[in-house]
Amino acid sequence: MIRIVGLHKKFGDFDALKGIDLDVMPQQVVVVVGPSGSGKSTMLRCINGLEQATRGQILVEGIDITHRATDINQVRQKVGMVFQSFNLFPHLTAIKNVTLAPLKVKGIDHDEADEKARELLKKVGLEDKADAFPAHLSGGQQQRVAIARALAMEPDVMLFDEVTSALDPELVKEVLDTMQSLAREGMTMVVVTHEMGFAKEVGSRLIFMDEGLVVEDGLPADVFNNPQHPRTKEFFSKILSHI
Amino acid sequence: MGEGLDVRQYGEPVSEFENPDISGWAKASLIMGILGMTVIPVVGAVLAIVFARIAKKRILQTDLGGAGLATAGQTLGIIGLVLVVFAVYVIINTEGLRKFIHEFFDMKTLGESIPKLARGFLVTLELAVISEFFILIFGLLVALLRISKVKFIRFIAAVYIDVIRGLPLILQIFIIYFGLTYLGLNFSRFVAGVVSLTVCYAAYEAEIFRAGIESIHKGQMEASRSLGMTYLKSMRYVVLPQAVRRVIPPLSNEFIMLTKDTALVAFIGLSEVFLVGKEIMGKEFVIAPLVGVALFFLLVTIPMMRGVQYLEKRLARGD
Repeated sequence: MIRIVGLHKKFGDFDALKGIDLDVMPQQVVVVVGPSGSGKSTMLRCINGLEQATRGQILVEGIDITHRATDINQVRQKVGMVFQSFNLFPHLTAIKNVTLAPLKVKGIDHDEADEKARELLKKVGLEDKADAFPAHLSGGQQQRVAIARALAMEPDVMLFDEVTSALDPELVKEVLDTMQSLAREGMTMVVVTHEMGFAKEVGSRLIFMDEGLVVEDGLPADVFNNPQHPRTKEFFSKILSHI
Repeated sequence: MGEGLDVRQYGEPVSEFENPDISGWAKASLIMGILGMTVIPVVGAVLAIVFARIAKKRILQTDLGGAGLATAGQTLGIIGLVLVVFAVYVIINTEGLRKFIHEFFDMKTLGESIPKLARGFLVTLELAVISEFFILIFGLLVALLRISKVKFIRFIAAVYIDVIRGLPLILQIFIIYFGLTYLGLNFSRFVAGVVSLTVCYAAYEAEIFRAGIESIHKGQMEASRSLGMTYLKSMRYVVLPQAVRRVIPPLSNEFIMLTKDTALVAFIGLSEVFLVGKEIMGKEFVIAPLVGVALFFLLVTIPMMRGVQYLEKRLARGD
């Protein structure tokens, strides 16, 4: 589904990614963890082209997005993304947020888009908030609308960039539950998060990144209980000690 | 009757309450009152009244005396002001002021020139509204060029903005009108006016649009692009709707300035309201027509200013 080969990314003099090789298979839920600055978000953003790779190759469903001739807009229709700061469109209601892209990009008929949007909002548990503006929604609700909005384009893979990090602790669960049901339905997901519980419960693969490299990669249970690399051990001991 | 209670008999002094210190403010008030009627009119009188008020307050709050002095000072101050008003009235009925009123507010000439001025003002309004239409379109376009990913395009836009904002509008009007006439292109004065106002104001409004666009959080564009929307569609449906809303107040202020700047087109001979007023003035030798011109402008600019304030309040609530 996604193949990353030798991905390097430099911001000026700073080496954010120092050579990532990764293969994401369909229906996998890949959870990426690591300290701040490890390059997790950068890597995620390279996958849908929000960041340009300095070196290396990224293939999404066989299409090389690092190639200049690729129409990134086409690829992005297949890759959905949910952001830490939600990024809902404040001037549109929840349902209009969800229908905007299908209407303007796919050219779907208005009624059909509306119906599909309502179904998606129902799926994330917000069908009664369809006509609410983002400003009137809680953080957790906004994030769920953002998930519905990304799903509206019927992507083949969903990217989640620390989507619960900006939420009140009480609101985190509703978002994680939504993501879990998505995973159960077989969506391919790449999730950058600090939520270790989610990684254990829902993840089918856990990746630990540090300083621009993938340090460890395996089944969540394995990586948690039996970390091989010293850096991994150090990271988990620090995190898990105060859960 | 216990000890320590000094019962005051009428007229009899009571130990420590007799001969209180007199408030300095009260003394000052009296002095100012006298000066206010003699050598320092108005200012002296006003100060006398002010000092008296302060004095009375202080006296109430403390053990100071001098209430009588304060009252006296206040009274003198009031009399002093009354005298000044009387003097002004006398002056008004003398020649100097009559002449001023005749020059600037000659009702007869003013009344007669209203119809001509009104026709001129219609031209003013047409010029402003038509120019504004093109300014908004062109200004937004330049703003988008200014933030283009292509360095060369950004450069051209920046040069245009800098040069235009660095030159006086009147110069631009002349260059465009006379310059293009020399080149053989035949422009009507009105069209030359629209073109030069557009070229000039678009440069300013481009910067306003740009500020508005850049004030929209980067995440909006990212979210929109990651849904597969192109840059232009993202601008159209996500960024610009938000940006435009933010820049409505500054753009409205620009429109008010534009309305006033249309008067400059008089200098290439377009018969908008200012030119008409000047011509009547030349014939009748009074300044009254220009007062008429002023009134026409104020008739629209002041309501527009209040309108912008109202808009700002409403938009602030929405955000």
